[in-house]
Amino acid sequence: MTEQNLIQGCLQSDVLAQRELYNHYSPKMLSVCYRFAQHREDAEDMLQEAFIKIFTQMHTFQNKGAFEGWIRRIVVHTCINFLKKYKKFNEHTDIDYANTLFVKEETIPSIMQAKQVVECIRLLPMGYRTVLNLYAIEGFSHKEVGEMLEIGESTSRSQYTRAKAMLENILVTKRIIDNPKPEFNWMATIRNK
Amino acid sequence: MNSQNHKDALEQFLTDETNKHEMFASDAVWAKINNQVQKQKSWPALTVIAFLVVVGLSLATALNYPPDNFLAKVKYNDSVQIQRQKQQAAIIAATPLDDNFEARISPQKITEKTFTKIANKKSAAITDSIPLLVQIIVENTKKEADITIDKKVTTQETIKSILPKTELPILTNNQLPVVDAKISSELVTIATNNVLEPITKVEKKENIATDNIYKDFYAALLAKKQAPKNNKWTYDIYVTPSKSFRKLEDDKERDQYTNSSLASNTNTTNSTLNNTVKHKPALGLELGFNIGYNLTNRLKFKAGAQFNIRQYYIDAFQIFGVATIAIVQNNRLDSLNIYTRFGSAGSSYAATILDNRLYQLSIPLGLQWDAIQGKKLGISVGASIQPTFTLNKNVYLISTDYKYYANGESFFRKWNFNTALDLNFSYKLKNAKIYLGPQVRYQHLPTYNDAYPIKEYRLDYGVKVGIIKAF
Repeated sequence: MTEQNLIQGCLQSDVLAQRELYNHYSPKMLSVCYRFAQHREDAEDMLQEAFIKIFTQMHTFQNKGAFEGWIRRIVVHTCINFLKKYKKFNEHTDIDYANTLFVKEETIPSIMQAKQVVECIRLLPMGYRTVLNLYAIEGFSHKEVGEMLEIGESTSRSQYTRAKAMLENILVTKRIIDNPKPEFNWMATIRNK
Repeated sequence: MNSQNHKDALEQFLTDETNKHEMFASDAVWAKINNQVQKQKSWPALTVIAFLVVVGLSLATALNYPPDNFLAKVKYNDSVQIQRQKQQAAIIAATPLDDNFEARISPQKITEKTFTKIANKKSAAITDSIPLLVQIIVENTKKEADITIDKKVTTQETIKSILPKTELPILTNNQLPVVDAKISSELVTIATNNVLEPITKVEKKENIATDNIYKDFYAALLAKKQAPKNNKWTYDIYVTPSKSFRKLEDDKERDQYTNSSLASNTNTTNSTLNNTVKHKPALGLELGFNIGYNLTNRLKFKAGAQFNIRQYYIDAFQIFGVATIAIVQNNRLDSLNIYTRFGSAGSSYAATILDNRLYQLSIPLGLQWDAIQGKKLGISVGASIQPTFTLNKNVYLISTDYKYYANGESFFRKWNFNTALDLNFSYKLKNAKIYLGPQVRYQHLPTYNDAYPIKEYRLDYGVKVGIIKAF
């Protein structure tokens, strides 16, 4: 079925079309939910809520942008609402947690890289992770992130800076990326002078 | 959402990697989504049917109960009432003095009455023990009698000759019980048959009217006392342990379309399909009740409600894959891919068993015919059609390439029709009847809807045990 057929079928509450749409988009969207959620069960609950909204609000899709983008937006907003509803993030706890974070050094096979990157993001404290997900991956501005999370724009910026630094550190430790800042070589500096 | 035009290398790396990542949700997630979405547009069929059944039963009860209300049959009209009042006035005027109120309450009369009562009780006990329907009216006997029996006839010796084994009280003329015309004529017949001549005359009293209401009342009481209980309504409760078998048929309609990837394996037949799907029948249960109405002495109409548990097991293997289901809809071949964890073939260490268990509600409507009605034992046959609503849908179906088992709720048919045939051997207890016998139940429509090309038909064999009682 083409995307247009799927949309038409869903608008007519055709179960087969709904199932096909779910099968097509749920793997990606569950990954999105998983990055926001604390546990896999929470991610599945978020996905469920999101798809119920998608099927019931299908008539509001106006064919102006990409259908996947529309679905993704619903999923992200559902995740944020879910976190707010169940008070899953707490800034103070997040910072405490960040200070005690210990990442074990290991070598990751490249085939598992995407999964490991997601797992690394999930190692971040909830507040940092949410800001990073929204800004760096989902492409929201700090202003929008601030509005969504009901925090100031500057708070969003500072949280993102810390989150990014922490994630970078984790990725390096896990040897997923090379160290972007080479160690300071004072001998080389003197020679150059 | 604003796209950031100047993403740094790390941000770009994160975006690329996370976009590659995919995860598969458990089957329960889709089940919940589907339930939520479909619930909003579901037709409240069960509620409507339950309402119709309740209304139907209430109407039937209201129209048929009570069947023999004697008061309902007494219709008054002015002329009859006036005539009756006149007759009563005439009776009072014609009644001898000793029947007047003052005379009746005199100590002598009361003593006589007491003796009469005692005597009549004994007499009633005797008459109850004989097959003749003798109704002795104790009070106000003279007023309500149509006939009298000559004192010479009803001596103790005469009755003794009729009822030689019973003891009779000694009755004087004044204490004679009055019997109605039918009974007295029978007595006369018996008396004459028994050679005793003393009956001289049976004369009808003029001008002593009998109140029709009383007559009806006594007749109703008499009928109630003597007629055997013949209630047309019954109810029964039963349980049927049963085993579910199934047969699969592939309609292969998809082969007409030129899409080779979805075409069925033309070498396969229905028998190979049934061999590929290794299923084992499992024990189920039917539990229900019926309200019955006797149409004739032997034929009964029954309606009720029934809860069913039907299940069978499928031998499967744990293997991750995509189950492709070919669908022919609106003259177009299409397919549905469902992620699954179960296959029809695999390594023995990954073997698992899938339980296809259904919970259903049925409304059996049927007839029962009592073929043999013995004093204690009986045989009856019954047939019913059962509109059936399935409460759950989490069953596994096989993909159209026969390789995987996938969650089949998207194709599940919620409403179906079953027919049940049963043969019952019954045994009559004091107030009830128990029965036991084999039952066959057949599902008319395939378990899955028309979009799914492999048709499943179910057949249950069970033993029905129940108890039936009259209301």
